[in-house]
Amino acid sequence: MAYYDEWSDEYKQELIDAGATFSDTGVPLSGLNVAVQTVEGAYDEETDTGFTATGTGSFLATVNEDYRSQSEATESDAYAEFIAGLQATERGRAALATWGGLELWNQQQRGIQEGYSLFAEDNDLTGRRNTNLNLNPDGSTGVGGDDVRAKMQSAFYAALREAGMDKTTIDALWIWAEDQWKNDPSFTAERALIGMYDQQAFKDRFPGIDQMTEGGVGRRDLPTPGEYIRFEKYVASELSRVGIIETDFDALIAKLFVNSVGDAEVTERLNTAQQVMWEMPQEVRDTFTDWFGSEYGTSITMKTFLDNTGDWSKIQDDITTARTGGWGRMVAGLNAGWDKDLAKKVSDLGLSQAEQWSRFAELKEKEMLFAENVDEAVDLDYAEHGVAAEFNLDSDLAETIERRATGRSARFSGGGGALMSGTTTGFGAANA
Amino acid sequence: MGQAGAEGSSTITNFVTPLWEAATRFWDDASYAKDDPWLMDNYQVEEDGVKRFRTAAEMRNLARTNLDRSQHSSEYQDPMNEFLARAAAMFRSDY
Repeated sequence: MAYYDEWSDEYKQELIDAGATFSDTGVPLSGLNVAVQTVEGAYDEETDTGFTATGTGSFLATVNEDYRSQSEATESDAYAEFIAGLQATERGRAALATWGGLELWNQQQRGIQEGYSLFAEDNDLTGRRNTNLNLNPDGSTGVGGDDVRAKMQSAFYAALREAGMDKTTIDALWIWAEDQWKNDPSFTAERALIGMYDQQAFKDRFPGIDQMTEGGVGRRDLPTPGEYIRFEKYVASELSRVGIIETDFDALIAKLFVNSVGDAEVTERLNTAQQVMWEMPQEVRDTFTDWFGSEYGTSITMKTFLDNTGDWSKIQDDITTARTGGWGRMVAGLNAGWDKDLAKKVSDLGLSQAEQWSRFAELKEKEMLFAENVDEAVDLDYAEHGVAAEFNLDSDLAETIERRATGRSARFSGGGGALMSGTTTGFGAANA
Repeated sequence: MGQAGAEGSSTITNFVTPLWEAATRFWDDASYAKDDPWLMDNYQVEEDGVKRFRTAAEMRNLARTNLDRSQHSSEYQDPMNEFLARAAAMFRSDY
């Protein structure tokens, strides 16, 4: 039987008159505490009688166990501290606004009974972690107590720094990878390694790889960063060996990669350049500049040979041609008519330096034959015809020059105009 | 008073506990309280002006984004360690 079942109609009417409401069936709905307080009298500390409007001293607390226990809780110091703790933080205030203090308190009490602190320790109501339950593998406590991220980033930096990368680039790559992990639950190290090639920091550091990628080179054929760095070190060492100071080293490396110039070719190019620039006579260098300067720039330097994106075999051809050209100028005194086309024909014969020098020397001895006498009809050019004859590029010319030589010799020999043939003199007593 | 009352109490517990478990399991760290400020801010999500509790999967993905806490988990350390090691090898040209 409910407590209100014993109330008379007159008593109910008094309560109604004091502000209480009842349903049609006589069940009190609201305002009962205040109404009873009015009818029965307010609480008097001296006599310890009467009722308060709410809480443990109210009428409902005497008849409703749930209400009484909730009232006891909300009037406790623990509850006051709990609410004060929540109100001290923005998040706590938001929680209060969402769920209300009593609901949060009840959650707290149930959580404690279930073995965990719903709202953290009783003396720490703002949500700080319970360090006694910390499960960090290394036993550290609290957020940020052990900064794994910083340690891993530091290790990443140490590993890549040894490979010659700057901190900005390394940090950018790590942050990118971490961001990938954070935003992609399907993150894998393999995918991150591949994706790293597309990062701007990576492209800036390895422009050659970027340019090769843009050029359509497949991932499998791209150099790894390690290979790239090793090549950089090799080229730097080679440049140092031949005394080149490269101001745009990154661009040079990228160009070498894009043009598939490997270690061996770098060395070959630099050795050749070294020969041309420092070991060859000035005439050879001048000839190279005269004949091929337009193809390699106005100023031929060692870098010209390394940096040139043209076909290395063509460059080697040009150098060989220039070398023959220079020797022709030096030994035979060739000038007018002696051009790169003719020199290339000589060069292509593949004769040794000694053989070329010998033939140019022999040509030089015949130079006067190319200054025509008044009675000589054939006009022979020293460079064009002399070289062709001396190097057997044109057998007819060789015979022509030979006949001129023989004719001139005959004029100064005995026998009155006898022809010279071989090592004997035409006719006369001397051959008897 | 808000959602106070017997019916509301059990409902919220039922909603919050699996979300708390999803997050703390991802972090490998059960020491975070259910009223942890970050969790409190993220148990619910507002969509089209209506608040709803997240699913456990959503909570797990969201927990991933809290790097300060995720960093202690194997979910973070395993793949990131592998990335670190393989990147280091790749840059040493023995990849």
